[in-house]
Amino acid sequence: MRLSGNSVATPFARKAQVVVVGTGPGGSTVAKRMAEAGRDVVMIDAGSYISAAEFSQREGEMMRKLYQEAGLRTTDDGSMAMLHGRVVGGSSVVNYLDCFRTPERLLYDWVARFGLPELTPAKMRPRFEKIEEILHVRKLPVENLNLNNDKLRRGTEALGWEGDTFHRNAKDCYGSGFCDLGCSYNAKQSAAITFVPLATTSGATLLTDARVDRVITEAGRAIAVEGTLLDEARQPRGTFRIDADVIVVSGGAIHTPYLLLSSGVDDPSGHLGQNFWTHPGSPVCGWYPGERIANYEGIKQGYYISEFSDVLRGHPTGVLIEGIGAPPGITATIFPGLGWERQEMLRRYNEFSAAGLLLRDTVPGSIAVGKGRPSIRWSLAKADAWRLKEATSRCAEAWLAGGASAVVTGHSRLTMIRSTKELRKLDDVGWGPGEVALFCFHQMGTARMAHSPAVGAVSPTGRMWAYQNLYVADGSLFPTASGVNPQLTIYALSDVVADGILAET
Amino acid sequence: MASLVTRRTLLALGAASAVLLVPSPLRAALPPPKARFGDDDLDVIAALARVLYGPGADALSLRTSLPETLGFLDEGQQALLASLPSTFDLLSRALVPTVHPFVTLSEAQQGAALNDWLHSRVAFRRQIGQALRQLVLSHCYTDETVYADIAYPGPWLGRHVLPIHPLRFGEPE
Repeated sequence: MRLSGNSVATPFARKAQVVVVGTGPGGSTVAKRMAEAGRDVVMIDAGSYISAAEFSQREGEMMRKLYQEAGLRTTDDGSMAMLHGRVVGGSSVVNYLDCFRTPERLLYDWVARFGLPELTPAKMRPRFEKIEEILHVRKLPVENLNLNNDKLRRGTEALGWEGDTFHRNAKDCYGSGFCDLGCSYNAKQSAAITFVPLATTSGATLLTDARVDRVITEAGRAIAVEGTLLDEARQPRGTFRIDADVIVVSGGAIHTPYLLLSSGVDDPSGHLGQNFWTHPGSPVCGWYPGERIANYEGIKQGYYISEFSDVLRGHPTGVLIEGIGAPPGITATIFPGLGWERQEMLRRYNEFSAAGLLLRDTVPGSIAVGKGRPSIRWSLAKADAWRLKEATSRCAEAWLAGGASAVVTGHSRLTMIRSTKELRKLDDVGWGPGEVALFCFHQMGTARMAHSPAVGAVSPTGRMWAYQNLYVADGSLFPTASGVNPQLTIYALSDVVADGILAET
Repeated sequence: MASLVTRRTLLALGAASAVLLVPSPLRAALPPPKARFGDDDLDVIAALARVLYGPGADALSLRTSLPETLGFLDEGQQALLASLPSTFDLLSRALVPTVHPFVTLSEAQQGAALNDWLHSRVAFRRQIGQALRQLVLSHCYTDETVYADIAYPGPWLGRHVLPIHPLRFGEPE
């Protein structure tokens, strides 16, 4: 059953056995498992349910409808854009479909350092297999790379580096190139068209356009969630309350700690909201004068360079370099300069290739309760800035080896590199806040799972230490940054949490 | 820096307290935030667009698209972004008393002033400048009247008639 905050009677009240706050990969996984186990489940999402026919492929409209804060959210210091979904299905609706199993060396690290024996590669493998089957995960054949990603592949191979095409959760993909604005063809197997309907067909109720404002607790138990029903213009139109035996918070690594902290839950660990990992990334563009690259056409994200990944290769730089396509609104914020100078660059929009850096950050930030919004406390650490420079340099090398005439970085002052000799320019440009464009598509770690409250905010089953029935299931659970695109890890860790809930409640 | 800004100056100018980027000694002196762009804010944005986007900026629909975007934001973020233009303008004048309101400067002066913010050695000025730049440019280049100029074809829907053959993918490994 699907209900909308636009239209239900207000005040709306219900009782359920399990309430799940958030319908991204984490929340939908738990909701599906609970519903299949015969529990009465209510899933709640602040976003709307948007069908394929409503994905208009228009950047301005879709950014407003699909992204948290219309894609304009940043860290408190303004240095990094935070892009994540606010729609049924969460960020899986707007991601680029990249699927990595959690790297084995990372799982061993989590098992050893955080006391999580359920996360050994052997125990996680069947979970990944099951999830990949539902999501229809397949490896992208090289012949389906668009020109942008193929240029990156050619450069990588010319340099003798390791790289590969992505595994993607797609079925009957037309390569329209609008993955980040929602898939108009239901080719992307997002949570919205996989796990969420699997939950509802097993009896779960989905309440959309309903923002949970607080979790109510009493004597060591979570007893209800309360919140605001939103109208079609996203304005408050009423209130709701769902009483439940089990409450699962799956709002993502920003909103989960924000909701729990602003609800005043007891956190004896002191870890809730801490350990905020971000995979800070910066764009690096190749320039091919006179050639039509059109990085936005076809499958935008098809190829990655793993040569410098710490979790895949043990390389100290700790970066994945991923081909990426950028629509005009985002591209305009990357290119430097004012007025006609920028217009001239944007007129050459089709001549630029693009890649994004996915840096595995080593110094985490934190999430706190700000004035009516999450306070996102993060800035690029000096050590990570040095690694970002190294990663930018390697990416520039790949574009040049792939035939680019020049490379433009994401710096606020035009930084153009025409040869490997000019890579030294990167030593002279700033890497501080506001000096280089930073984007974060992956938020992780603010309620990390661990064997003890001395180490993490939740137990190995995702349970808040001070409560018998309050759980977290989303990217917040990550003990550290994953170093790869995190969606499969979120599904798999949430599956671990689902087992825990079924065993403990 | 803070010594140039008096509480009285800022109160009189009516800047907004929700701008978290401003250091707390300054922020504490500012009055409550607002949730919408006023006409003055939109004038500042229009002037910024002329500098950032260049020729043709006045033909873009920023005066409607930016307020529309604001309506999709949660209250806290609304307050933050709605306050940016006035804070930029007012702190410009407060920090450098000889500077006139942004909208009254010549285009060359506006460009120089904005560059001063974008590349300031002071982090919070740089960050406010960059936030405004992102806000304005992202709306300029999602205005579909710009697409022809950059040879961007826009939505695939309507240009391609389905069914067409989907791409082929391998079998699961």
